[in-house]
Amino acid sequence: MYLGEPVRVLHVEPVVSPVPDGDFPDVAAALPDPRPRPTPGRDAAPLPERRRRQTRGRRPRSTPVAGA
Amino acid sequence: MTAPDLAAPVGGWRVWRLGADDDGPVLESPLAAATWPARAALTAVCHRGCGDAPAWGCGCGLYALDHPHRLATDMLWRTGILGCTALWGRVVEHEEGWRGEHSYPLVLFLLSPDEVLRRVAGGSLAVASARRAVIGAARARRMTGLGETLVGALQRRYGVPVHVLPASSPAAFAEREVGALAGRVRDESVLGLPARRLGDRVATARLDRVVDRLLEGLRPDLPPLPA
Ligand SMILES: [Zn+2]
Repeated sequence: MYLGEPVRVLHVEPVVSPVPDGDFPDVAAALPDPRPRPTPGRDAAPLPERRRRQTRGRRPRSTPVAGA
Repeated sequence: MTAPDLAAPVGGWRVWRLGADDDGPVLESPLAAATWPARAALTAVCHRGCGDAPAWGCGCGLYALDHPHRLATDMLWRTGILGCTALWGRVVEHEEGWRGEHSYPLVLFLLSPDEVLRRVAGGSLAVASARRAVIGAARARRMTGLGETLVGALQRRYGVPVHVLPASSPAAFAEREVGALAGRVRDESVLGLPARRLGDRVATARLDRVVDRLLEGLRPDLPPLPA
């Protein structure tokens, strides 16, 4: 694959990882649960359950390779 | 420690070859012995010993082009899988593309899934196991079309959208209108990435729309696109 001459070196640090996390491709990434609001009296809302196991997804593993 | 030049990955076009492991189909490089792991970044190192791959004066790193028409048509035909990849980490920008330290696909296009499978089935162990993996997945899901199953299997494994390209399309990427549509796919695959990762369906639909436009543009049997 010919790329032409090199022009410059960039240091690229994506804010959001390009690698999908977790084992559930059809499920959206989990956002942090909303903090429960203090509610007066005994009708206070129960704490939300933790959403999905996806939040504990495996850390990406990297495979070294040259010129691919 | 230096501040990053970009806070979003670089997006570029490249081709892959179909391979297989015990869990099903995988993306392989046609240029080197490299397999993109599912749901993990592929990271480059240099066999010549460059400390920081990709190095300026070397050929190491993970390749991507700024435009799919720069891919030799026969290369696309031979490999059968085209797509946009994200590159990040240390990235050497070239006149017509990039070499990156890390890579992960953003969106994939299969030239002809059945053909890709047939081609891998050249008798090699990898192809035989790719076929087995895909057939197994097809049976489990009661699907009949092998190609259709391959699309689904890649999509599930890598967690990125996978589409089928019209068969007669490789040369069409050189046409100006198609080139512009391909550019929009590349841009949207990168720009919409954070929102798609957070489950924003609007962002997913936006990428689907620009992909649909590209696929329409590649269909020779449809009337030409408006300028
Ligand atoms: Zn090197």
